[in-house]
Amino acid sequence: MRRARYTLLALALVAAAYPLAALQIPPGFYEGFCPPVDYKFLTPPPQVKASRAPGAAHAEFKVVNGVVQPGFVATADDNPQAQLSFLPGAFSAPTGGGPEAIDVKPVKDYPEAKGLTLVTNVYQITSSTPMVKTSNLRLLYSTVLPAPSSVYTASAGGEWQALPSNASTQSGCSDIVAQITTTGYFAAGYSGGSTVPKPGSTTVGGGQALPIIVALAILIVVLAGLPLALVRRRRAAEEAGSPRPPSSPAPPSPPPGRT
Amino acid sequence: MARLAVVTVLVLSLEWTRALVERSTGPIPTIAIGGLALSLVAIGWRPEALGLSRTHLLPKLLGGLAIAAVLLLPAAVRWQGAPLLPPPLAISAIAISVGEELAFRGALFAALEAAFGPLAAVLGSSLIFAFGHVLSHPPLFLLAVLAAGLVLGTWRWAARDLVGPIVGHTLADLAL
Repeated sequence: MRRARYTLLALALVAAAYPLAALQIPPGFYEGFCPPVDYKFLTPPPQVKASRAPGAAHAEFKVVNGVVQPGFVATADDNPQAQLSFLPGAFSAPTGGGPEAIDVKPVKDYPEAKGLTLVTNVYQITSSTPMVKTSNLRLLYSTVLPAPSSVYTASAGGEWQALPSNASTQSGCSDIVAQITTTGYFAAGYSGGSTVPKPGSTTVGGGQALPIIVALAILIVVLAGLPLALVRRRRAAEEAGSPRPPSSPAPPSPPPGRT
Repeated sequence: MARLAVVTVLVLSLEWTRALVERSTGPIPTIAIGGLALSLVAIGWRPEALGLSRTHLLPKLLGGLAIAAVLLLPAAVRWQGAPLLPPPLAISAIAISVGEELAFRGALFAALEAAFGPLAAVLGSSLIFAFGHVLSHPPLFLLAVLAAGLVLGTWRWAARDLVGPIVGHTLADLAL
């Protein structure tokens, strides 16, 4: 029973210590395949003490036989934070035979994102002619903030709408890709909430801490109870196989973490 | 002692090599290959010494779910609906989770326990687990890695079981 108590205590301690340690760092373990991203915010959130200015992009594309040539436009960052890639004829050909000009730039003025929490800069994509075919937009996001669930878009003065989005197959965890059919404003985020957590703080979904605490307590009990049951069953099996005199109990093992 | 030294050098070398190669080639397929290489460290050990046996499999699997729940709790309270891992990365996550458990909580734990006892096995395997992640994780993350190692190692000691840590580690990596 003494060993069982030590077991319970040790498991409870480590089970409680892990969430406390993990909540001090940005979300995600990722086995190292999601290294922290040095994201450049136009308006840094409270978690970010300083941020370099994010880059913008301008590119011109030739028109051959009335078809705008394929290509991509990536913002001028070390790791492009916004990248638009498109197929031949994705934009209608400019009149007059000039090239197709496309701009991607982070902006501070954009339609109000009611009910949304945007975790990236808002990028405005403009082109000299309308987009007529689906193109891919890849947005990098910071690992300091909760990961976004979707890329959202809005036109000038319009409402924000979610676009079908997927994790990038290149990195899988720090960028998000959406298919877009028009130019406009774009950002990654998630629905709900408007506040940004303070550094090191615990953001509990819906602001309800009690259910989380209760869940933690239940988990600790479950985690501690299972090995206890195993130990008891093993002992019962051993005693059934070879009875031991009550005056010679097995010496208890020291608990882990006890100094 | 010689066996312990060999296992320690081997697991650290494999983890660090994986992290260095990953920087130049990207996560796919480096993580999966790293996981397979770590699994090879367990070759030559009896399954019982590694904590692998088929007895009490159901409670061990439930234990794995409980471990995963603890490991996922911090992410869960801050979760906002991140996209799922793409299949190639999910396969890599499974490979590295299984490989790390076989290497750290399997072979290394057994070697440490044989040399210095269970307390040293739990603490030592957790410290070496954290040390193995210095090249793949920023310093800020290492305390959490150490704490995760303690959760997994304590279960390994308490239940004499590696199935739970394998299940818990894998589910946590897939869901994070």
